[in-house]
Amino acid sequence: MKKVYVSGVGIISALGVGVAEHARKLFSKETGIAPVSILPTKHRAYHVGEIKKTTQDLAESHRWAEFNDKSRNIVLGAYALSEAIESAELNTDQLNETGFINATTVGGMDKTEVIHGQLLAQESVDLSTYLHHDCGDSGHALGNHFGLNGFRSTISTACSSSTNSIMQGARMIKLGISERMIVGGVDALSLFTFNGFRSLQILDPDWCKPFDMNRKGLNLGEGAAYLVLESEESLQERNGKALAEISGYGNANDAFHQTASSEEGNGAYMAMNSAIENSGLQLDQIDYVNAHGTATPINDSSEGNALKRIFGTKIPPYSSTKAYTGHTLAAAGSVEAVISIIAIREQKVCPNLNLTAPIESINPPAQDATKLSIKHVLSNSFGFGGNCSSVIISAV
Amino acid sequence: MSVYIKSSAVISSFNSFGSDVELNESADTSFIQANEPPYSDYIPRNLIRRMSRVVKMSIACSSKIKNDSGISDYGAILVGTGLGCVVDSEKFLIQVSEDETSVLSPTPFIQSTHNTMAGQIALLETQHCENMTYSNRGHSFENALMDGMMYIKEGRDNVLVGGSDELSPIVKELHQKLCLSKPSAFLKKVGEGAGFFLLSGVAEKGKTRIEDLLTFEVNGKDDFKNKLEKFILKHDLHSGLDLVLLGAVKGKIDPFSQILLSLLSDSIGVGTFKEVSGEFHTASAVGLALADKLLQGEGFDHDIWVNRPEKTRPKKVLIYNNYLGHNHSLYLLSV
Repeated sequence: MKKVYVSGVGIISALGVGVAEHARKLFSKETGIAPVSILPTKHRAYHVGEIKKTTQDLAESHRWAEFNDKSRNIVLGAYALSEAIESAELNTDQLNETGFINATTVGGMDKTEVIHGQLLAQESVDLSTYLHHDCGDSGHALGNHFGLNGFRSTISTACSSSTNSIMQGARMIKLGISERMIVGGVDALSLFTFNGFRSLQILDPDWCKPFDMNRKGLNLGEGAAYLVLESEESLQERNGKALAEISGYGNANDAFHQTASSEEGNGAYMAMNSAIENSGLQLDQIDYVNAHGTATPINDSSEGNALKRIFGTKIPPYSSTKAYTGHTLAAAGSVEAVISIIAIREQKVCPNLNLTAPIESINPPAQDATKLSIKHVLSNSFGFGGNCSSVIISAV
Repeated sequence: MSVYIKSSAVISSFNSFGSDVELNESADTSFIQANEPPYSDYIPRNLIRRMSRVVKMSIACSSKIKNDSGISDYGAILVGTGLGCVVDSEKFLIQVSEDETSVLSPTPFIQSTHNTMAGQIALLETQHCENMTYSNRGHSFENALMDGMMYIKEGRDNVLVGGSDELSPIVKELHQKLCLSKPSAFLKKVGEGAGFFLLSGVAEKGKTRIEDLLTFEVNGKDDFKNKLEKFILKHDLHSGLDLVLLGAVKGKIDPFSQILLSLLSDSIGVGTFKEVSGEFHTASAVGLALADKLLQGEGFDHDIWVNRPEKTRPKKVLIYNNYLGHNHSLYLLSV
């Protein structure tokens, strides 16, 4: 079977811009979460994983003038995508034949929110703005800007979206449809999602507490992360360097409820199980689990139960990194895939933050950046609609 | 590896649910509304009230496929949608825009996620298989279909693939304004609908075979022409092709479709499916369902013909579609 390698990564989140800043802050337990400052909400005290610059400032500091009036998704995506392309050292010709699978749930919602305000106020509407609403918009704008002219697709499966984009890219390479794919996702904060989760009463107004008994809910975040995936042949041909390998993936549906996870974590169990089977690894070869760990009461207990069903009493060191970045929705899977690669590179577990009384159903998550031999990482992403996905990332 | 359409269901201005369904013709010149079947025949009554139309159309199609094929265990569930649950999204946005500090009802937010259709099918049929939703403009349905073809290649059977989109008050209003402000060869009546398909890798006599699916973007008309010529050469389409079904309307064939027609023989039948579907991101799912009907010899009563094909039952059909001049796709089908 063909192998799928990661040859480049890029990331932006509330922790900062780029892999280096993420690594530094993750291992020094520095969170990116703080009260709202940019999002135009009246609920200013809520803690969010926000990138503390306006969209226009972000676009201007890179002189991406063409993005000035575009959605925040496009600009955040451009930061992560340019880093991924640079780190893989891809030239124009190579980019031209590279496929791109983006993932997003909000699309150009920030722009649509402006239009809705104008329509309500019966003001004149800039129609071109509306054309940025759909989820496909950011993928095409980014693909065009960076000259990614191979196959293009956009996945929208709620919070598992970008894990699914990694899986799809890997499948396309294994089937020989493409030799090189850029995969990942982006979601900016929006009034729509912020108020959506608030109305569901699953936002913790303060710092979220993944896997704590007194957890109250999630902190919403924003960000983007992309991975360059390549076949062995493609790497050899251009003399590229592998950073990691995508060694397994699994996607299953919980088929329990539109938004809530089943208590026994059926979907999560099946997704992890199918990823491990797909990788051909033994259970004791998984060295670290980057959990979905949103810090909602239901997710963490359901995911904990699924981990217990898979690993029994031998659950590997695990943690949630949502207390650093917030829940970046469609981007969460690729953000955490990049964090998993950082853990492999540094041979350290990412510490779980804000824990005072760990849940008792399973052993507590890792709380220190312990030095550990990490060869295989399992990373989970679960979403609305019962979508559960897992990916296994391995050292090379 | 060939991929066959075992069963299909469609909801558009026409639908495949009754035997004598009238076309849903609206007096309004800017949109075409779907002709919806009696949902209570296909969806548990207690759920209908809560579901948005795009979800109901999708569930009705998958239920019809289940009834017709007798199959409810899927190899994967893959749905494409351009705007997702846009009516519920708008409902929630209006609440937020009006007063963010009031008590907001979470129901439209819960139902606004793009993967609601695929998720609800899994939930209703208790299907734990791979479940994916694509939202990629005029290629949303094509991405789902291609994924289905990949799963067949990987050895799965009975893969459910669909495309669906709904009209919303704001989409209609903005589209109307767009039509008035920027007349273009690509602007058509905006539409809605759903087309779902059960795919199999097992050859079954008389079933529609998907020989090829190509999705592409172009850099100018010459690039477009080159890509078409390659496809025509690869499949030797100068002979044996009975019908080309365009994602166009009769009186206003777009420049890309014109180029395709100039490359094909004059004697080929030419039909235009957006005449009946209207324009939307997943209109090609309706186009594919219509082509499947024709290949299955079911005929089609409505006038979509620029050039009516000689054979009443075509054996080889090419579908060409683009969305507002972007997101081009070609499907080659045969029986």
